[in-house]
Amino acid sequence: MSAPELLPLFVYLLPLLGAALLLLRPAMAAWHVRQVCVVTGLCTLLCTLLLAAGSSGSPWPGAWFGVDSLSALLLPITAAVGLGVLWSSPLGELTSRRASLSLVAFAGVLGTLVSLNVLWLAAFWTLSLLPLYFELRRTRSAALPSYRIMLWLCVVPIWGLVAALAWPGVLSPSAIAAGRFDVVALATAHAFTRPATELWLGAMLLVALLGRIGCFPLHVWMVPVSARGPAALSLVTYSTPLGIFLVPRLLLPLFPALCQHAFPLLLPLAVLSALYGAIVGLGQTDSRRALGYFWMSQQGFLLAGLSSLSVEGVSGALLHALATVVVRVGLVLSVLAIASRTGTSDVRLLGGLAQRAPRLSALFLVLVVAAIGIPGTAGFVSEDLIVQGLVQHHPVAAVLLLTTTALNGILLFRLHHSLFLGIKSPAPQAPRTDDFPDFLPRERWVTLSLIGLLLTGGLVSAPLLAVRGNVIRSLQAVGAVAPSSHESSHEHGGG
Amino acid sequence: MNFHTDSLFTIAAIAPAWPAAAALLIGVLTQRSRRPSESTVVTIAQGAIWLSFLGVAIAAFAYVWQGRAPVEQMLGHFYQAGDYGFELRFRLDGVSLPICLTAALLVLATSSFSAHYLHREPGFTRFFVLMLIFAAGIELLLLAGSYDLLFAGWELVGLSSVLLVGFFQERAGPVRAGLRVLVTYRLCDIGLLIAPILCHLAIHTSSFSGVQAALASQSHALPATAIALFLLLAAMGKSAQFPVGGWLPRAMEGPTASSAVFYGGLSVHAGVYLLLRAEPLLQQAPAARAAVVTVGLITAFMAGFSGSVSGDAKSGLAYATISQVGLMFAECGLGWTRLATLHLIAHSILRYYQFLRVPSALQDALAQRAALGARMQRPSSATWERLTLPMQIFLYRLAIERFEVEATLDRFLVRPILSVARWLGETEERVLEHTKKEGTR
Repeated sequence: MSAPELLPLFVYLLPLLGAALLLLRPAMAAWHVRQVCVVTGLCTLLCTLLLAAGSSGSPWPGAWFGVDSLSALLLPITAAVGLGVLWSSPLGELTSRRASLSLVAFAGVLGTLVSLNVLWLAAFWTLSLLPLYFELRRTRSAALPSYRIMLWLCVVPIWGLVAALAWPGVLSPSAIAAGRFDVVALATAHAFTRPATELWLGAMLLVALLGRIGCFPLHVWMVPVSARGPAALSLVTYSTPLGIFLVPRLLLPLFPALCQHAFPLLLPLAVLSALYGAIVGLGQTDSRRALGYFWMSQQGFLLAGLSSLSVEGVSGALLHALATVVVRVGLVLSVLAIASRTGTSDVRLLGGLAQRAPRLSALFLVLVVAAIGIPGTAGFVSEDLIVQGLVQHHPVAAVLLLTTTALNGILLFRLHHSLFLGIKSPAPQAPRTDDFPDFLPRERWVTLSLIGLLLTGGLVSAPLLAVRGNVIRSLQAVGAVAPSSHESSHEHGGG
Repeated sequence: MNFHTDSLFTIAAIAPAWPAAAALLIGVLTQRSRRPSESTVVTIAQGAIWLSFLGVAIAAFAYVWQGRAPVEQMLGHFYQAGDYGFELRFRLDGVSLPICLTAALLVLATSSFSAHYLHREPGFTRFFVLMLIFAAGIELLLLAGSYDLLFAGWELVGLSSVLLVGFFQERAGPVRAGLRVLVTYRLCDIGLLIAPILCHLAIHTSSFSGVQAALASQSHALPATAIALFLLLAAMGKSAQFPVGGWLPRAMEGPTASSAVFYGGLSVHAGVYLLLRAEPLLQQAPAARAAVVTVGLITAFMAGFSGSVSGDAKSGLAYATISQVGLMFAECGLGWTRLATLHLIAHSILRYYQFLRVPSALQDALAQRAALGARMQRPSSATWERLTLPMQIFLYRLAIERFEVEATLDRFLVRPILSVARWLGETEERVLEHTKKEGTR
């Protein structure tokens, strides 16, 4: 194997190595645990950057792992966000066991991104979900029953697809010749012999998608995990946009006909998710729960963009997937910093923290501004594209999504006001905040890097959209995404 | 238009970029371990504001020089995907340039005033960052050539306004007021989000010239009434019109300089400017025009009435501002756009000065009394005294309670939504707890 073929292996092997090291030393001090996590994360980030820089946009034919236009951008950003999470999580969160589980989940996420083989993809997809399950089970969390259901919904369909691909007679001879589990080859060949098989497998994958992104009513696991779950582990597990990644990686290329029919039907569900998350979030008094509902709302937004199956909508959704991950990680890390210093995330017991921690307040506010899509941030571009993608054929959905953005803005600003502005809560059980420390340099630089990513995405979004343009063109080639009217008229004229 | 004039207009189009870049620079400097000094902040801010002002002034000069013909300046696309591209299209004409020049001048004056007024205040740097964001937003809003770009400026103006209302963040009152402004803005801004969508849906563009051409040719079924009504909703929010105008008197919690430039001078007039830009649409939509006039007149009456019972000078000025802006709405609805433009410029300068003088109101009153040697009677007092006592009490209560508009909105809109939100959240929690208990059995 040559160096470019070996490099993707390091992307998931390095975190697994770090996890093994931590498991072998269960009594390691939290400070050393963080050092192991940071070194592992840095090496992994370096690998992903090398991979992205060396990527030509089309992977080696027949390779199990590789980087294409879809993962070229996602891979380093996911690695950077993962590193940020591990680096700036409170020490109390970083026990040796939890950190090793976080690194395993990190390996699962990155492995899924570089997998070009359905078998490996299924394995890493499962690996990314299991650590959180084990931790929830150990702590007997209230989120466990719903997370267990989500786990089944996500894991069974993808292994069902693997089994179907291995089953004789399911694939066409041309697909078998091209590569039975090869994602790229299956996308270009007419893979399935019978439409019914294609329909069932595609429908199962759709369920996996809805479960993973926490679409209404499958969101019940998301909010408790967000509010009470282990923060670093849950951030690594489900803040990465793997559910959305599944759509352009497997669903659209392998099941274009099904997507053409099913995605417009998902649109009402997506809009409902977006609205429901925004409205219920308004009534929350726990900052972590409120952010959980905000995340649910954003996932609805993403799904709506994908459901449009238009160039604008899908481009916007792919960009929004990155923007929301960065925003959410920044917001959750800030809320965790407050919770670890005060012992509570209940906004009724907090308030007035801006006087003690002006930098934390200012950076939280910038993240809020980015989250609601103010011009100059990546969220503005992605939300605008999603809405434009829906305008022509689904104007009502576009209008409802715009209402959602307004409600989300109110939700997040209210959260900022409750936490940082005004006077300290007079409640007797309110924590002491007289010596509340501001953001530490480590926390500040992680948050500033996240903000830098959001501003870069907002001010110079053209290169980001150009990289994603290759993904759109490949999806158009298999008929999964409708060509723009300009292209279709050009082709029509040319023909 | 020759090359040189074209370059001059490009200089105007990039005017909003200077304050935006300065805000970003100061923001980055504050994150260093050693914070920037006041003089550094003022130098950066005033440099950017001067560049911006000169850009607009040069463009205004070029506009007059080349015969006062409207100019559309297209600087390319901000981003593109498929058929859609976000156009950086600017429009320089007899409406945008004089108002933008006034705005740039007022921001320049505010920066000089605030450098002394806020000296050694804890939020000195924050104020300048917010003022720069506001300057970028208002200039973008005024020079925009499409509803899309106008919305970008509109959002920046709204954001900076909200944060300046809550400037004194250690007090509960300003923070609550800021949140109220935010909620009003966000909900009313939906109108400005939907209106361009309807334009894109019908004619695939939201540029002012495109809309005007479509209306003139009548080749597209542009829903003029619907678009105009959505624009009216956005304008009502930003300009504090009935029934969503309750935020403006509360917004006086911010520093004097921001009250002057935002709620006296510029921000509150953004709604009027939007209606001026929507003039071609309003001409085709009699129902929307009637709505604009009605909203404007009701607001003017109610604000005038509430202002006459106001207990402090700043609130009195706020009501007077709302009342005058209501009249500007009526002028826009009646199609008197030139009068509305002149009214807007004159009113913004007058109110700006009055708001800056407010901290000295008591001193001014005492000086007047000393000069005249007697207590001056306000004309409104004489009107009140003509009424019977029960009527005075009834009207006074009505006026002081702002005609119960806010209380009604709270009771029938805000509280039910929050109740539903809480109920849904609690129901989910109960279901989860139940599932957990079942699981442990």
